[in-house]
Amino acid sequence: MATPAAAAAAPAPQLEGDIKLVSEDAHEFVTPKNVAAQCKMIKTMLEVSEEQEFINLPNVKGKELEKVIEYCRYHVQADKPDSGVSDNDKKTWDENFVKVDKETLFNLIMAANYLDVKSLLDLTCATVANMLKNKTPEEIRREFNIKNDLTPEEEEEIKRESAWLYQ
Amino acid sequence: MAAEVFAVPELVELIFSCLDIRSLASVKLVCRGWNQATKSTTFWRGQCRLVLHPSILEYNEKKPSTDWVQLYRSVLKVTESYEAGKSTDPIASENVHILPDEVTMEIRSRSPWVQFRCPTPLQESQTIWFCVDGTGWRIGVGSEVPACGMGSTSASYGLCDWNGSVGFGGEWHQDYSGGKAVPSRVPIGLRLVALSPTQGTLSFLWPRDGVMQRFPVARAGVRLPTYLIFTGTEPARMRCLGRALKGDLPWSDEPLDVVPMLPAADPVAAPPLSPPPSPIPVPDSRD
Repeated sequence: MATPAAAAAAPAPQLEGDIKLVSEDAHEFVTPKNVAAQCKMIKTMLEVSEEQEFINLPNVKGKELEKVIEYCRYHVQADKPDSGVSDNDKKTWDENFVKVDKETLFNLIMAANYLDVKSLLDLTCATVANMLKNKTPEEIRREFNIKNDLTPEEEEEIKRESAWLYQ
Repeated sequence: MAAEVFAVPELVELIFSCLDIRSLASVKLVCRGWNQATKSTTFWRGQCRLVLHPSILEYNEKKPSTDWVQLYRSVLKVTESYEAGKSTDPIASENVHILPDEVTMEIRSRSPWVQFRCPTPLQESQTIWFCVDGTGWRIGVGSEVPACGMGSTSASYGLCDWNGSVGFGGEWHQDYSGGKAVPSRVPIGLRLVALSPTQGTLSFLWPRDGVMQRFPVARAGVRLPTYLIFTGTEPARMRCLGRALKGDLPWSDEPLDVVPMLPAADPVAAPPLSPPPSPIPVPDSRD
């Protein structure tokens, strides 16, 4: 087994070959290990047992798992120093990647959180944050079907806290 | 599915951490849980949001715009130090997580106030101070404001709503000497001109119209240095609240009344609108 230092210096050799990822709804995705390992959770599992042929992912549906793999596959290639893909290109790709319906976006957040793909989690959360920007509380409630449980007194108090913003 | 995401505090925090301060003010009003999430102790960890007055940038021609970033880093570091219960002295920018885009964004938006949020609600024995002197900018959390001063080139002031939301507004006087203010190029905002413990007033110069404002901060049991809350971006709308700071001075648990701005006519000499009651010293049993 490699020492931690060696593993940090050269993780690639441990990630050759493919791994079958099985979603909650039994969809199977044969994926290069180095792509799957972009998910920290999967990487840990691969490190624990290099011989396993498949990994069950009971908290991720096939539709989202496919998207996560698509994201990881792109970034494994694009993030290589010699890929020739510019930061702008990557940004555009990411922006297009999260142009999905709301349900898929939230499912992706949960998947990225479960699989521990930090960059995807940041991207999807930032997308949701953009949906919150420049909206009134009422618009946000409508958009996300949230019930207002604040009393009028609490609302007043909160407004007072931020009053200086609007002076 | 949105409900599932919003039920995970870490995810809510992550989403909210992408928001600017105005959007945050809006999401706080969505529901109780979201309001609470914006106050969570982890929310601001390592990523204090700061909206700086653009005049900081314009104030000193010698300082390039990158000083904003430097200041921002200092603030972040102080926030982190505060969390760890360590010194509040600004530390060099190494190892500080910084959100440069946000700084840039805020500069572009030219927000008029410094906004600083603590990772946890402040205790009454703590305060935030913001200071500029000959050595540069400083901001910190402590039990008292350091070096507020007559006859000094430094001045500090801060504000807090006691809910963990803290802000600072205004500018300051770089060359305080003999009580005369150096004319300012600052387009809007306040400049702290003098703290006068003997007179119990805080004097500010409103640079836009050159009006000197005096705040009667010496009220019952409240003496300088006093903790101040400023809101408003022009004299007519400005309000000032005060609290005595812990130190060798007594505390007052009663915040000062909202003090209306003094009339513009002869503002330097103008007395407080309501005469302060006789000072009633309150012994500080904590000392």
